[in-house]
Amino acid sequence: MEDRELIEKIIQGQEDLFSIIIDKYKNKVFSIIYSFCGQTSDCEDIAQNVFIKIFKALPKFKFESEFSTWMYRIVINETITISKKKKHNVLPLDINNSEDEEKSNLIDFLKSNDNTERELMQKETQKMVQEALGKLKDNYKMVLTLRDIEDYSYEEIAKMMDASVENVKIWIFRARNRLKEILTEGGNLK
Amino acid sequence: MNCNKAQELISQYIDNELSAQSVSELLKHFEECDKCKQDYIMLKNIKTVLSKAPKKELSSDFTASVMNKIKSENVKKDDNVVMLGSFFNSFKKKLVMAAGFLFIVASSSFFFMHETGINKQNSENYASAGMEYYFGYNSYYDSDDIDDDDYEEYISMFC
Ligand SMILES: [Zn+2]
Repeated sequence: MEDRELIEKIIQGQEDLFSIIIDKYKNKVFSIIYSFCGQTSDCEDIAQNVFIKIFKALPKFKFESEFSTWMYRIVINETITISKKKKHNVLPLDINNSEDEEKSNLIDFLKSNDNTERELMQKETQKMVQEALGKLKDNYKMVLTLRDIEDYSYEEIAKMMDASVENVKIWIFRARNRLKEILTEGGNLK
Repeated sequence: MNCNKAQELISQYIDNELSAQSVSELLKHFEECDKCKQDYIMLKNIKTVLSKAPKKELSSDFTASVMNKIKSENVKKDDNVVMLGSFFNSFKKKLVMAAGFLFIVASSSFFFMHETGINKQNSENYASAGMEYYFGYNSYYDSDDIDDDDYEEYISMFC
């Protein structure tokens, strides 16, 4: 059954059919949330709440766009909203607090053109880059999550974030440069 | 090619989104400019690290859990009201649209001050598409200055 047909039936009262929608999209949706929220343990709860939000919003789906486009916009907005609320409870991550040696290792590493796969996978590196990602503005953090971690195309990201491809390119460009700044300068310079 | 142009293209080059022509111009620039080449290597390394971020499998009872919550919370209740009489429905819609319009007018000056004006454009898109579900969320893309709780309250007045 097509999404549209399913949505019509769910709105008309066959609520159980929503499980088909969940099964179809849950892995991709969860993956976005998990990556955006910095791999925290409560991501599954967030994903559940996002699907409940989608369910609640179904009567407002206008059938003017693809269901998936409409749905992903809710996913993106909700993920940003929820993670923003949680931010207050999380201790601020600070790369400046990392050991000096660790920091200079990281910079050497990032400057090197012949890193092995193994080095790129190293936990410390991953942790520091993730911390820096967490410091970006929400829309920058989201475009980089979608592009670099989740591997969506510029076009797909534009649809998901309701922006033009040009804007997505600019956001990604700025987000990467900001990330580089944070990693090399500790993020104090703006 | 100057450095400004090269910097702009590096990000797209990393994403394999650059035309062959631009690629060869950029590579030529790298031969002459160590700074841009260094930046490219660094940005590429950061992307590679990100692409290897840890992943996690969703637990197998995820769908069942969501469906249970939907049933136990009786979440449909709220929206039945929206679907009820057409009078109430359209009245509510108008209210939401009017509020959305006011919100956009009030906030557009705020958005305008931002670097690209992208957000302003977004709020207009939302409004013209009549997607009232979204209007309350526009600012999440950029503003750190608006309190979340105010938003929640604001949205709950209409949805
Ligand atoms: Zn240069």
